[in-house]
Amino acid sequence: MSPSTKTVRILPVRIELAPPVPEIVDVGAAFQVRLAIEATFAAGLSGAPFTVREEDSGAAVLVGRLPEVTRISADSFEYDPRHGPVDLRDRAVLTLRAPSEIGSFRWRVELPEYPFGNVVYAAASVSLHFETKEHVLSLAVWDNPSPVSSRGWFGVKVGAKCSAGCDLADEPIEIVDAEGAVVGCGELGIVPWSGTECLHWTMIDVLAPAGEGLRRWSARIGAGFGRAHHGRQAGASFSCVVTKPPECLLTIEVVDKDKNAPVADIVVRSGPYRSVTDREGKAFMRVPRGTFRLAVLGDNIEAPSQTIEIDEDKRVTIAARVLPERDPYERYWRT
Amino acid sequence: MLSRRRFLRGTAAGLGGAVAAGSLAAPAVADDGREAISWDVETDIVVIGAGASGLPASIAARDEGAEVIVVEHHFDIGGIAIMSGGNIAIGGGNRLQVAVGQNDSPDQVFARITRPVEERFADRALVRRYVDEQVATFDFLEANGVNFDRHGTAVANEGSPGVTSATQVRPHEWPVRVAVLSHDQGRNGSGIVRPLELSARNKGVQFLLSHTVTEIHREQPFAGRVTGVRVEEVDRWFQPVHRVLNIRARKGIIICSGGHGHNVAFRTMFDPRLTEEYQWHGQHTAVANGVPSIAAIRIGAALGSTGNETQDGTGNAPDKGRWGVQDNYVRGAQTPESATFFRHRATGLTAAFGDVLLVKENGLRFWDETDNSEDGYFAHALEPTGVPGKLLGGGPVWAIFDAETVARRGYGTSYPDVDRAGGYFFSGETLEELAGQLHYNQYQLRPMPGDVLRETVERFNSFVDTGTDADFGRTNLQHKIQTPPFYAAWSTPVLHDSYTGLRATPECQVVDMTGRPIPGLYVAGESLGGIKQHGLGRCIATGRIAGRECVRAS
Ligand SMILES: Cc1cc2nc3c(=O)[nH]c(=O)nc-3n(C[C@H](O)[C@H](O)[C@H](O)COP(=O)(O)OP(=O)(O)OC[C@H]3O[C@@H](n4cnc5c(N)ncnc54)[C@H](O)[C@@H]3O)c2cc1C
Ligand SMILES: [Zn+2]
Repeated sequence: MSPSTKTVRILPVRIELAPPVPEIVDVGAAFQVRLAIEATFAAGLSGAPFTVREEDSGAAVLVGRLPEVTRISADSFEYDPRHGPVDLRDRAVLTLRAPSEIGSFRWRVELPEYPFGNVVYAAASVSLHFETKEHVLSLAVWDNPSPVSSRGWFGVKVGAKCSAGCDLADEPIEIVDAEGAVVGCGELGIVPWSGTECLHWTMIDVLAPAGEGLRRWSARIGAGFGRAHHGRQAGASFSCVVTKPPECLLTIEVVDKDKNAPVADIVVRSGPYRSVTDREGKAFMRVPRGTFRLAVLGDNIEAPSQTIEIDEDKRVTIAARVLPERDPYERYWRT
Repeated sequence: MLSRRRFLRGTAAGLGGAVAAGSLAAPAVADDGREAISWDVETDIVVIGAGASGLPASIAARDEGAEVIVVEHHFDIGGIAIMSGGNIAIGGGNRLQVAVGQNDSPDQVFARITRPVEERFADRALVRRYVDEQVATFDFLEANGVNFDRHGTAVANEGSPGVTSATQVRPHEWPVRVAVLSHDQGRNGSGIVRPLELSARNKGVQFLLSHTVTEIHREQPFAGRVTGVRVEEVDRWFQPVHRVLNIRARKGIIICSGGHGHNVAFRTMFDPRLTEEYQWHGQHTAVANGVPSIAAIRIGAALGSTGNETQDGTGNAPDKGRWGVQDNYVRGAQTPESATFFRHRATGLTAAFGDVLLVKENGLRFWDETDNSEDGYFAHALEPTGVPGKLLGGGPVWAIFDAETVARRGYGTSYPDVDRAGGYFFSGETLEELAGQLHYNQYQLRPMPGDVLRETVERFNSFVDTGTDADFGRTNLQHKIQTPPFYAAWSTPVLHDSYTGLRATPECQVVDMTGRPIPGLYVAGESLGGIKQHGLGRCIATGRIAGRECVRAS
């Protein structure tokens, strides 16, 4: 056989989109497409060229090379044949950027014929249809104390996040009361909140109203926010109980009545006031004069709630019964 | 189909030498002209399933002199019994009870598990035989190597209303770590199944692992003896690998394949609310799809005491479960050192219902999270939420909590503690972001609206402020859910125990729809209907009865 008649081995290639399939993506933002690949020795396609085209016009959107093609782990959910196809077990993850206008898009990811050593991977392609949408902003409010004193200042943390992960540093935040009046404002900081990737946050002081009772505020993106494609107004609300300013120190001591020993780390509550007992079984609360219902909360503790009258500093001892660490599933016998 | 010779070559190690070539009979010829079955292998007794009932059945049959093959779906023996706590409700005045001075008798046991209300649907004849053989069952376990822990003898739930009390004995855990599936939490069931496996193998019982029984052959569609089983080989994911065998059973077949709780069609015959989102305890360890029971029904078998299945009480109802893992049964936690961890994918978190709020797929709370009642919490968890076309089943329940809960409880939020890849645990930097991901879970049929989840949490937080849950009256309101990041963990009720199975005589012989016993067909364990008692006691005892009686009757 002469070298010129040597036959080339063509390896068939099939590609599909692996979940999660992007159907709606943030306008102008990067998004990932996971290609599921079936081919003999699919790893050989690592570094193979690909083109992403508009399906209708044929215009190229992106030309690049595949990242490493890896086999999904046999211990993963995706591998589990009870949840999906048993072929198509190799993956390549492409990072694409969505167009910067809102609309529907029909793209196609194409792998042209690819010679590799003495074989040729056949051409393959898969279509990718998606829509772009405005970025969605969402808020969180935390560390708000309750209760707070009427006409007293208190602080809350407010964080905002863009669904596309935009850096929201310096963007304005407002706190609005139930009547719609802006009662506090701030700007998001540079460093995201711990444990998050892009929740930018700030601390805002709020003046509590006069009067007493449960009050509600909401946080929103401030008026000065002017980025394109961030249409949706984000909001979050938070509440606290407003009370008269405290006048007396209430010291509550929780004692295990069987062992006559202090009980630590127990939440005690008197009316809207909450506190946690320390190592000596003591919890402290500054409260106004008045009548309160005192209760101990917890899964493993039992004490009758009592009503107390406070007109000066006061110490109250609660004799509680500490139950053995309760099995949250004790409905059944030992199994 | 596999040739006889290939089968022998392929499985010689698994089946040992006892399947001698000479014992292979000629292909069976049905006299009514139906397609004859060509038997690939032949034995006296086929036991279906190598769990709490199958192992004693195989030993008891072998003790009567029969040749026994146990066909087991999983690549290991043990069934869900190997994950169990090993607390066996076998009393009646056994040696250990006498040793610790516990007063008990068969009559007392009988009275405890045939109460006029709680066990009103129990089949008294079966229960009587079961309690009369409890002491002998205990002796049988000891004689076959089960090493009981003197300190494990206890009376469980004495005087708890609504829950069956029982005297329980417990073996020591099996000392070989790799052979224990669930570690570090007193999963002493290994101390039952491993000694029984050893004893069975020593006595010459053969095990055909990674094979599943799909059909039971009978001489006539609804008449005559049962003649054998059709089995298929399966892989470690329980998927068929398309190799089929027919095993002839000269003396009988004993169905010990556990419950049917993982089969949605089967379980919804009794309670139509138990739709696909509800997982079944031990589903990643052993199958409980009722296929052998269905095979028996196809040749005429009846179900027994079906009222037991849905009756409130000792826990055939759902359980609140662990968090963040698919098979979320409370005692079923597995760690990566388990040989079946690849199917479980995560250990899951120990739930702390007083620290969280629970929402359904629509983002709304539905009940006091700390409640546990059948007609309260569970009835409402199982109520549909208005997913179009879904009129049964409550959909997923998600535990929603925050960074402070995680810190307070010391929860892990990634592999191997929780199953993010499978869609049973999510986190988000805001509640909207969290809600937006939940539909990656296969049972979350529509996206959860983020604003609804946020409003639910905000409302709950105001209840924590005031100390009053205006919606569901929960009193344990300690912590707000507010500090990012936020978490959602699968907290959907999980099912356990099948209390209905095939109808049988007190000898555990399967009865047909006309009330007549089916020659050669026996049943034990959770595949058997009639005894309303949780767990191992009835499974081991009826396994032993079925094994013995099946040989004696032949
Ligand atoms: C985590 C956990 C803890 C528990 N703790 C306790 C406890 O402490 N005390 C107690 O009393 N009970 C306990 N139980 C319940 C107890 O383990 C079960 O009731 C008992 O194991 C049921 O026995 P069985 O023989 O019917 O089923 P299993 O023990 O499950 O055995 C059935 C076997 O049949 C196999 N099989 C199924 N279908 C087929 C087929 N078509 N072909 C071949 N093989 C098949 C299965 O793979 C399985 O190995 C516990 C259960 C769990 C999951
Ligand atoms: Zn953005």
